[in-house]
Amino acid sequence: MEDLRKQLKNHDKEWLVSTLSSVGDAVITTNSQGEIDFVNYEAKHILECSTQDVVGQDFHKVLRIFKSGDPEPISFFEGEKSDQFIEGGLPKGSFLKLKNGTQRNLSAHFSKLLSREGQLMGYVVVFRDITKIMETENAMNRERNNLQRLFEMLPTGMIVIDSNLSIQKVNQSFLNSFGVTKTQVINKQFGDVLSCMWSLEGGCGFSTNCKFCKFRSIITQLIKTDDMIKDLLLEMSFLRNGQVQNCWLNISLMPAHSEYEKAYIITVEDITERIHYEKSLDEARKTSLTLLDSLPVMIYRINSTNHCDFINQTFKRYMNIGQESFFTALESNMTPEDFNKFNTALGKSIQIQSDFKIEVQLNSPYQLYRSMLGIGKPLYDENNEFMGIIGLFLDVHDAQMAERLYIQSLNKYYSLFKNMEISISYHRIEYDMNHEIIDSEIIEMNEATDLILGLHSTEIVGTKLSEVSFLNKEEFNRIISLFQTVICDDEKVHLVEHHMESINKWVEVSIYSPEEGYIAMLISDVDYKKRSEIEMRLASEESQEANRAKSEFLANMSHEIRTPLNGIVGMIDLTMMDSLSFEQKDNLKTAKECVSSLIDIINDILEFSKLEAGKLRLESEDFEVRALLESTVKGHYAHAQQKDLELKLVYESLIENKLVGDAKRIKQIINNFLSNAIKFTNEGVVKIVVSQKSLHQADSVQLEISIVDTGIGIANEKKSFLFKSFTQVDGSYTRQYGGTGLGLVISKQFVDMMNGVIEVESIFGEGSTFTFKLPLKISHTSEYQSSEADMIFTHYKNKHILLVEDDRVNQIVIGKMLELSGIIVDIAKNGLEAVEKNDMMKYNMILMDIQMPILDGLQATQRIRKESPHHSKTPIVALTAFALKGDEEIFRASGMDDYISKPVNRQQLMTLLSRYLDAPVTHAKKETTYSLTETEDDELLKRVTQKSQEVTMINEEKLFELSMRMQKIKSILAEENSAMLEVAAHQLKVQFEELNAEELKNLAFKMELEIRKGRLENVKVLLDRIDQVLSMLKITKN
Amino acid sequence: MKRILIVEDDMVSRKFLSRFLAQYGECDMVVDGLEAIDAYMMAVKDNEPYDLICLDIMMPKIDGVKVLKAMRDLDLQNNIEPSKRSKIIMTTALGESQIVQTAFEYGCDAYASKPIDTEKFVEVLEKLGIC
Repeated sequence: MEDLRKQLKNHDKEWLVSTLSSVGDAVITTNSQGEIDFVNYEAKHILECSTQDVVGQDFHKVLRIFKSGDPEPISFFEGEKSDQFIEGGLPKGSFLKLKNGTQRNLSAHFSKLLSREGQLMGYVVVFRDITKIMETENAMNRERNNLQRLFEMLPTGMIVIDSNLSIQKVNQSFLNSFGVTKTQVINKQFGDVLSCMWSLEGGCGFSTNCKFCKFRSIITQLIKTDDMIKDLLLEMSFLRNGQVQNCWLNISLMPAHSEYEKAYIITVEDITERIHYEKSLDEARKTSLTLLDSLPVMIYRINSTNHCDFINQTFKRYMNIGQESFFTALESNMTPEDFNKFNTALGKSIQIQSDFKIEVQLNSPYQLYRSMLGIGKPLYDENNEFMGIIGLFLDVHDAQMAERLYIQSLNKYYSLFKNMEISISYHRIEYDMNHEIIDSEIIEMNEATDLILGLHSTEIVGTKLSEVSFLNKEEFNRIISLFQTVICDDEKVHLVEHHMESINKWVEVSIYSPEEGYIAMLISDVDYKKRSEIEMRLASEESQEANRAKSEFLANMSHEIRTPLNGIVGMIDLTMMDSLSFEQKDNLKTAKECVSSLIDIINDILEFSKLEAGKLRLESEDFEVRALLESTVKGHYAHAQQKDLELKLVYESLIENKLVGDAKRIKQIINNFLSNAIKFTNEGVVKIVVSQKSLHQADSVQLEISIVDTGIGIANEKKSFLFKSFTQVDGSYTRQYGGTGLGLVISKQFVDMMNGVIEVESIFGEGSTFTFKLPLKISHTSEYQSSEADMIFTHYKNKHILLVEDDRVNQIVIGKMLELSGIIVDIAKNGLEAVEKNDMMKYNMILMDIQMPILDGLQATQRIRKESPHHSKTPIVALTAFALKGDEEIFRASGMDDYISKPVNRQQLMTLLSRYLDAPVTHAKKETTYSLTETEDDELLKRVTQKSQEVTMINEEKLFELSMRMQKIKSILAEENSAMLEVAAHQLKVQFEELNAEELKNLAFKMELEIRKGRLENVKVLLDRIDQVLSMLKITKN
Repeated sequence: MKRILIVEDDMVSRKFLSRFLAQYGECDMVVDGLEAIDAYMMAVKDNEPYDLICLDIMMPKIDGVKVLKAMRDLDLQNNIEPSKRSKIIMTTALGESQIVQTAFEYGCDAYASKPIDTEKFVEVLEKLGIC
């Protein structure tokens, strides 16, 4: 070694040193003891020392190298501590620690320096400072780890694909979001991993649809151009859990090549939900817009800079504007004040972000200002940022008008309620447990209530009805029961007249229930009305009484007057039968005419009084126009002839001869006009013109009768006096022409009653035409029937009738009529006699005169009904000359069954008999020709076919009755009362007829005929003859 | 003296007729149709038939037209020669032509309407041979 050294020193040393010194690596050599004998430049630089510092020093002391975690430096030499580092490199992580503490990473190579002989000459250490390299390497590693972690940790799904689109890496997020595991992903194609619907057929990239795959085409293109893409939105369909799902993916791609291969990172984000959310958001937006548009209010939105950015369709249509012209349109359609008001409100609302509510008038397209409610509200976005104002205009015009009207009507009705003169009170019903009304609370009442009931409503309202002091217990109960009726029966109760005891007033009360549980009570004061009504009624009763007395008086008077008049006529007639001088006869004739005109006047007056009393009723019967007119006109011939006037009856047009009406009254009208015409015409013609006109009603015609005269006529100014009571046109005529002047009045009344009209045309001095027109029904009776044909003839047997009549003539006439029907007649001269006779015997019927001496018919009837022990139920028929209607009621009231007026009509009497005597009634057949009817036939046949059959037997009773009659006749004969004699003879005849004693009957009949002839001397002879025949009869006992 | 029967319910008319006709004969008076038949039959029975019968039409009980028919029926039954039959004059206020026609069919001899025109009546009586 020394040799080598020496050699080196000697020979090579300079060269070696210079070589080693310039080497880039650090070199240290030691001797075999490990003492440093050489350091080169680089080594000194790393060790930060000079040659002198280290040469000769122990290697270990200079190159102190530590292993990490080991406080002791590594020993390089064999045998000393360990010999593991004798040759080769340093262990990993070793570092050099300098004396100043600096640590340096080293890479070192340690080798033995051996001679040729293999003898250890020393050690060589070659080392390099790798601190910087290490640091770089560490930094790179850290960097790589960070990226890897980032890749793993990013919440976005990521994959790394190679240029074949095969997935090389995948992060957790991807696995999570698509529900796959790493093994299902690595080295797979994208479509296969996600079960792409398009690639199910043959795998991703190999299916038919793959050529349309946007993902594939874009990625392939990008790989080619080595470009990148961001936020590519793709819609793909995947099969997940057996269901097809449409997914929206957001894809980004960037190349990430490593030194070994090309790689591409793809981020895959499933944004399906977001897309759906956005879509639904969009729809919701559209829907709300539509909603806003279709709302019937005008909606607008003003943004925070006071610009309108929305108005709805309603607004657009109404104003015909767009949102840009919002303010200008409003300005031109509002009054300046209103627009100002709106702007102020809006401005303030924007400024302080508050609500506003104003009312403005907005001009409508129909140029009518309508009331609008303008409402605004601040609008905020989702971040609670103020966006502006949303507002609307609501058309409240109609509502306002309605409200105004409502208020008006409310006011109107309330004022009606308040000021009405009828008391109105409103009650709330109070019930007990059984739902019975026990009381009511007065809720409201008007002023009239105060006045009518004398209350103070302020004190009453709110109190209970039971607490109201002015009602007594009875009245309270009455009202409550009325309430009960109203509530239970749901009816309105109306008391037309009710006398309130407590206030002594007549009131009219209405009670009803306007709503459930409530009652309205209306009370009107009818006190004055009622009291005047009572007064009126009393007055009316008085006047009716007076009127009745008048009617009675007139009826009496006409009766009383007529009776003597008949006597006068009779006496005149009798006297005229005597041989008188011409002058005497003429005087009598004049007297008789006076009587007849007096009778006419009386008849007029009576008729008039009946008309005045409204007691005259029209009859309705069939009549023939021609017959009526002819018989009427005939009655005036004589009179006309006397005045040398021509009387003409002219038919102008006659549609129907047979009509229905009150022929008697029509005749009376014609008579009135005709007698006037004749009366007031001194020369010329009186014409009766008859015509008929069709009426609308098919069953009626208008009968027009004109009486045309050539008389004195009537001056125009006097025409109004016609038809007035008690006036003649000229007072002077009354004297000249006579008459009461009632004729026309009566005629007018009749025509009015028949719904007709009277017309008068007259020229003063030339003549008058009186026309009356009557609508009359056409008779539907096919043929004319004689009144006799309708008569009822019944023969009664064993019927007793008591005839109560004071007038002897009537006794005879009515008695005769009854006897003709086979009735046995008893006569009572007055009421008292009637009562007595009725007590004695049961009559089948009593015919009772009303006006009688001692006891009148009414009193007699009452006594019979009340007092008669046996025969109180005998039918009693009034027999009266009172022809006034209404009397019938009086008769019935006194207990009479019926009445018949005098003069007694045989037919009426027959009808009456058939009603009260239970004998079969045979109505005469109504036949069209004069063939005999059944009963008449019987009567006639009986007479015609009667055989001579002499009665030979007679019972004692009958004989006695007959002899009494004979006696009576003889006594009457002695009195020479031929009227009575005739009646008596007739009765005798009837009796003989009943006995079928023909000879006797004939004798009695002859006697009757002789009496009529006035040959009373022959009567005696006949009476003797009858006596003779009677005496020849054999008497049978019973 | 002729025998005359006046059938008339109205007293005045009856009186008038009886007084008027008294110059031509003895006048019996009856007041209704039944009495008329009675009187007629009695006269036939007594063999003193009436020469003239004035027969009113509107009467109670049985009207004149029916009485007329009954009388003519009785004439037939009793085989009374037409020349010996009573002359019958209908007297009435009714001018109804139907009734007049019917009356002539039943065999009346004349027709006199009321009020009776005495001159004309006398003419009729002359024609009928009553005077």
